[in-house]
Amino acid sequence: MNCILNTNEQEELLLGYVSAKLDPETARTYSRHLSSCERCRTMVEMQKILDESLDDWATPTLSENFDQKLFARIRAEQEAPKPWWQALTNFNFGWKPAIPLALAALLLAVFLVRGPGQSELAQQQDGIKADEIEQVEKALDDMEALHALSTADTAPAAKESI
Amino acid sequence: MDNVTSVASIERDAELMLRVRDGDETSFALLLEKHRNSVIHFLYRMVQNQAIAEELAQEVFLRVYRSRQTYEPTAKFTTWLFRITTHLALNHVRDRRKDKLHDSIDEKIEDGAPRQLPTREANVEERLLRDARLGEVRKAIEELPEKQRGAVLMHKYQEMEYSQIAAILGCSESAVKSLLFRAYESLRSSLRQFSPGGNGLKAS
Repeated sequence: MNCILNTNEQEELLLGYVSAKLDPETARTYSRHLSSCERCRTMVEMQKILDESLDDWATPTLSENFDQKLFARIRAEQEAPKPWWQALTNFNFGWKPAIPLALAALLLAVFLVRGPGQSELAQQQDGIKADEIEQVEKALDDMEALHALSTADTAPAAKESI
Repeated sequence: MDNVTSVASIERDAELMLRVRDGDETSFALLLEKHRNSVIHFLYRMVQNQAIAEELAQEVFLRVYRSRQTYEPTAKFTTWLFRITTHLALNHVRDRRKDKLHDSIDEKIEDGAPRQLPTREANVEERLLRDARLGEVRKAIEELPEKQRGAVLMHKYQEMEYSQIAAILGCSESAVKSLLFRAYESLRSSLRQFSPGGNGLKAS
C-alpha cells in the first residue's frame, strides 16, 4: 500500500511519535496509520534504533581546570593594555544621540571659524594683486609709447639744424 | 536534559547576564555553571574531540563575557549563547574540511571519550551491537553537512524547538525542518544494516 503522507508529514509525525511529543489524538491516528503502512512502520523502527544509539553517546568528563583556565584568560584580557583605538571604540556614551549632535556642533564651529568670509577675502586679495600687476604693466607700456613719440618729434628738428 | 525551558529560568538567565553587564562576576560564574555542560557536550558531538570542544567552549564563554556591555535581552539567553556556540562550531568544521585534516573516527574516539554503554545490564553481544551502532552513527554524523549536524544535535540533545533552532541558525522554520528531516534520513540509512531485517553487525 502506498503511503498517503508526503515526506515532510511523514518525518514530522515520525519524530513527534518516537519522542512522544504528539498530542494523544494525533498519536492515535498515526498509530492506526502505522498498522497499515509498512513504509512508515520501518521508518519508526529505524528512528527508534537511531534514538537509542544517540542516547548511548556519552560525553567525556570535563577537564577539572576548565573554569580556572577561563577565568585566568578573562583576567589576562582585562589586565592587558588596550590599544588606543579600542579605547575609542569601547567608549561608553551615556546618551548616544549626543554623538551626532556633538559632531554637528564641531563641524559648525569649524565652519564658522574658517568660514566663507575668509576665503572670499583671500579671493578678493588675489584679484587686487592681479589688477595691480596689470596696471603697472599698462603704465610701462604707456611710458614706452610716450618715449617713442618724443624721440620721433625731435629727430626732424635735428635734421633741419644740420 | 541540558536545555532551559521554564520562563522563570529564561528570565533568570537574562537577569544574570544584565548583572554581568553591570560588572558582577559572580553572575557570570553562575551562568557558566548552568550552561557549561550543554555547550561543551554540543561542541564535543559537533567536533568529536574533547580538547577541541573544550577550547571552543572557552572561546564561547570568553565571547559571552566580552559582549557583556552590548548584551540586550531581546532573545532567549540560550538562543544567544547557542548562536555564538554554533557559529564557532560551524567555522571550525568548515576550516577542518578545508584543511583536509580528517582523522579517522577510531583515532577520535581514543582522543575523546571512551564509548560508554548504557547503565542497564547487557550481555557482551548486545554491548558489541550497540557499540557498533554508535560507531556508525558517529561516523554518519561526522559526514553530515555542518548545518544538518548542528540542527540534529540541538534537536536531539538540547531538545530545542524548530523555531529556536531557526533563530540560532538564522534561517526559517521550514528550512530547519528540511535540514532535520534530511539529516535524520541519512542517519537512519547509516543504520540500515542494523534494522530488524538486516544483518546485524557489519563484517569489517
